[in-house]
Order: sequence, then structure tokens, then C-alpha cells
Amino acid sequence: MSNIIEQLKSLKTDPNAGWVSSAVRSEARGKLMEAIGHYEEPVAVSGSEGGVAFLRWAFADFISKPIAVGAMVFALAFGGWMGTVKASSSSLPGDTLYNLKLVAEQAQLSVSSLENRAVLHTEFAQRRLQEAVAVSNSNDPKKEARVATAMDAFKKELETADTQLQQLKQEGSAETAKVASAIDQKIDELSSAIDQSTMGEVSAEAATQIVAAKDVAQGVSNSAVDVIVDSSEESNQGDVDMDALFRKELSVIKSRQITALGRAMVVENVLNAHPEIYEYTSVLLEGINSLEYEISNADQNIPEAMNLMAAGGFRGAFDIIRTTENLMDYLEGQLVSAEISVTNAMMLVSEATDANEVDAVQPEDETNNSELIN
Amino acid sequence: MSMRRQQFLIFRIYQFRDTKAYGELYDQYYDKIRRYIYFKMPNAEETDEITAEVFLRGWEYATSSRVDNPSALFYKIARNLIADFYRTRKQLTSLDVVEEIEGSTALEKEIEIKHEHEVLVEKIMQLREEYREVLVMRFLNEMSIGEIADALEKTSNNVRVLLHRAKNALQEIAPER
Repeated sequence: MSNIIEQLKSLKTDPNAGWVSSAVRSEARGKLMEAIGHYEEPVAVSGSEGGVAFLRWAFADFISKPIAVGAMVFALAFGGWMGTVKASSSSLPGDTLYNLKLVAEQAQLSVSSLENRAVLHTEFAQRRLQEAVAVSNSNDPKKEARVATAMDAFKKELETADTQLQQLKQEGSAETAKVASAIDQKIDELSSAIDQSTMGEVSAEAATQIVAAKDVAQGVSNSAVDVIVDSSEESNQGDVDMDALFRKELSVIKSRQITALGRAMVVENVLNAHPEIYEYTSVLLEGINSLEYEISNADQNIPEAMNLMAAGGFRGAFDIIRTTENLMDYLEGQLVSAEISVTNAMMLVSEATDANEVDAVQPEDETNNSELIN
Repeated sequence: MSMRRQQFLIFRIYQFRDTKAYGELYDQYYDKIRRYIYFKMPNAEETDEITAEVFLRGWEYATSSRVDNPSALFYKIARNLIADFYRTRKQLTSLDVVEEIEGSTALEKEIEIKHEHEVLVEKIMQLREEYREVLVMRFLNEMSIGEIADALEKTSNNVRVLLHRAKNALQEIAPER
């Protein structure tokens, strides 16, 4: 055995084993140094100043690990400086350090594997969403444009994550199902954040962007679930808990049904309370009742999906889930049309009422004025 | 170079974009990274391209993010770039299968099999990728078990087991002196 080890060590300076001459090494070094701008002079730092700064840097690494209670005193003393180290990570569009934040993200991507990159893009999408919310709630005079830019970036990050996931699937990566599960989980968090976020007053255009962003998120989530199901069927392995995934998808459908029924009930109540709007809208009470019935029964095929899941027919079960979701998309679209129509009708009724009141008042005023003139 | 010195260089690079400091790190790791890549690439030209890209990306990362372990960073970038290289060449098989293909590709390298070193290199290229990796890192790059574990993101025990198996595997196919 020692013979083979000696033979291996003897390869250390052999060109056939990757060794290069000093000339080749120097040439490669020269190219690199030129590429990173070696002609620039580094910031001049005095010996003591540089030394103190390095001590702080090394100490920051030290206190980032679990430390004894006594050392916390020093942590507090350095607290102010510590805050600047990660200043760029909390910056928003328009801030001075924001570009540095984006550069750091790109650098992170450049050193990551394809599997990690796909998940990183969903994390970056989450950051763009957080930035959009923060900017919309600020007094930034340019917030409209910055919210739109952040939401556009949000969509692009998710689309890139989806593209890379599909690439992993095509390559048959062993980590595909896990990556898809991580992406799906992250998108659930994003969708909840979109629903719960209290955006400040933004234009209709920005609001439309937010809705579009949510559609993209749902699309990527569906894509990730498809990848999980396909991977599970191909490998017969339990890398991802299919039952938990199915229950989660089911829960989302139920939640959508409840929300849609609530909205339909509001429209129904308005129609009942204001029959005068029938003149201005094509939405009828019978139509809303019919829509409510369809929403309630949108999940009628779910029992069949459950049976398929129990028998291990994941593909068939999730196909039913997908069909149900598509049906809910259609019904929600019908509901939005009804809401818009009823809202417009209410406005028209209100305008008509105001006009009648003006007409009712005007003849009396003209009579009084003519008397005054005469 | 001590770890302390490397930490100081990393600090200079991050805080001041000190290219001279990065040059020192480059000098420390160039041979090892290039050799690591050499045993995974089909020819020297592509080895040099990937090697150059590793250090360019290392600079981008080190100037924008805090680096704890420069050795692990460079090896990680190298592994990812090699994976991307074979992806781009539409090698849809797993890397374990690719290494078998590489074994035959090694035979296609423009090396006249005369010298015993060349024969030994040929045998190394026929090994499984993970065996080849640890042998090169341990005996050619002279890395410790811990350093190899960090670079490959494995435990030290895993590395020890791999090394033992790799030596046995090479012993079986390599010629006796």
C-alpha cells in the first residue's frame, strides 16, 4: 500500500497530473489580476487602523457563534459597528446600498449548484415581495414605480426557479423532488404573505401587478407539484410526503371555496337590498345563486381523488386536484365580473339619484330668481 | 499559509477589494484547484478555462459576501462549474456514469502512454469520481482529512472510508513498480 501512495505523491509535479510550469501559472495569474482590476490601488489603511478593523472583523465572526455570558458585554460595546456589516441586506429599492444587495445575491448564485440556485431564486422572490410591501407603505415619492419594479423582479425570480426546476427534472437529478418540495413550500409562504400584506395606497396598475404576481406564484407552485408527483411515480420512493402534499392542496381548494362563497353572499345581499340596480346590471339573483351552487360543488370529484391517493395513484389524484383548481379559477372569474358589474350599477344608481335631486331643486330656484329680477 | 493569514486576506478583499490580497490567495490555491479540475475535464484547455472562472467567481463572491473558508469556497465553485460544464454539453446521465465515460475519454486524451506516470494517471482516471477526488486531494494536493471534508461537504469519517476504498481500488488496477 505504501508503494501506491508513494507513486501518487510522485505525480505532484507531473504535467500529466495537472501540474503546470511557473510560466503558465504566471500567465494565468496575470490574466486574472487584470480581470479583477489590479491596476486599482487598494484603499490606503494605516497600520493601526487596519489592525483594529481586522480585529473587529475577526471578533464579529467570534460572537456570531454561541458565546459565554461574560463576552456579551463586548458584543454590546461593538453593537453600533456590527449593524453596518449587514446594512445592505435590509436596503430597499432606491436606497444607496440596494445595488450592493443585488450584487451579493448574484454572487451567491454564481457559487451555487443548480439545485441550490432553484431554491435561492424563490428566496430572492420573497425578498422582492417584502421590498414591494415596505416601499408601498413608505412615503417614497417614487413608490409606484419601485413597487412595480419589485413585483416584476418577483415574477422573474419565480419564473427562473421554475425553469431551473424543469431543467433538473429533464436531467433526472436525484434531488429534483426535494427541490420541488422546497420551492412549493416557499411559494405557499409567499402566497400567504401576498394575501396578508397590508399594502399602502397604490395605483390600480400596481394592484394589477400584485394580482398577476400571485398568478405566477400559483403557476410555479402547480409546476412544482407536478414535478413532485412525476418524480414520486418514477422512483417509487418516499422522498416527499405525498399525503401531506395532497392534504395541503385540498386545504387550499377549501379555503378558496369559503372565500368565494363569502364574496358571492355579499353580491347577493346587495342585490336583495337594492333592487333598483337591476336596471343597470345583467347580474340577477338567480345567477348568483347558481354561481354559489357551482362553487359549493366544485370539489365533487375530490372523494375520487382521495380514493386514488389511497391506492397510490398519485398522478390521477393530482390531475383531479388540478381540474378542480381550474374550475375554481373559472368560477372566481365569474364572481369578479359580477362584483364589478354590481359595483358599477351602484355607482350609476347613485349618480342618477343625485341628478334627480338636482332637477328637483332647480325649478324652485329659477322661480325665486325670476321674482328677484322682476 | 496559516488560516489566520487567510482570514486577514479575506478581510482585506471584502473590506477594501484588495486585489493584491486576492493574488496571495490565488497563489495558495491555484495549483490545487487546477489539479482537482484537471482530473475531471476532458482536456487541458477546458481545465484552464474552468480554473480561471473559479477564481473570477471567487473574487465576485469574496468582495460581496463574507467567506469563512476560502478553500471550501473554491472547491465548491469548481464542482458547480464542472457540473454546469457537463450539463451544457448535454450529458444527461448522472456524474457517476459520466465518470465512467470520462474513463474512456481519458484514453482519448492526447497522452502517449509511455511513462509509468502516464499509466498511473490513466488508471486514476478509470476510478470512480469520488475515489479519484479524494486521492488527488490527499496525495497530490496534500490536504488534511478535515480540509477534504470541508471542500467536499462530507464528514471526516466519510472521507476516511472513501480514502481507504480509493486506495484499495487503485491498488487493484495499478501496475506494480
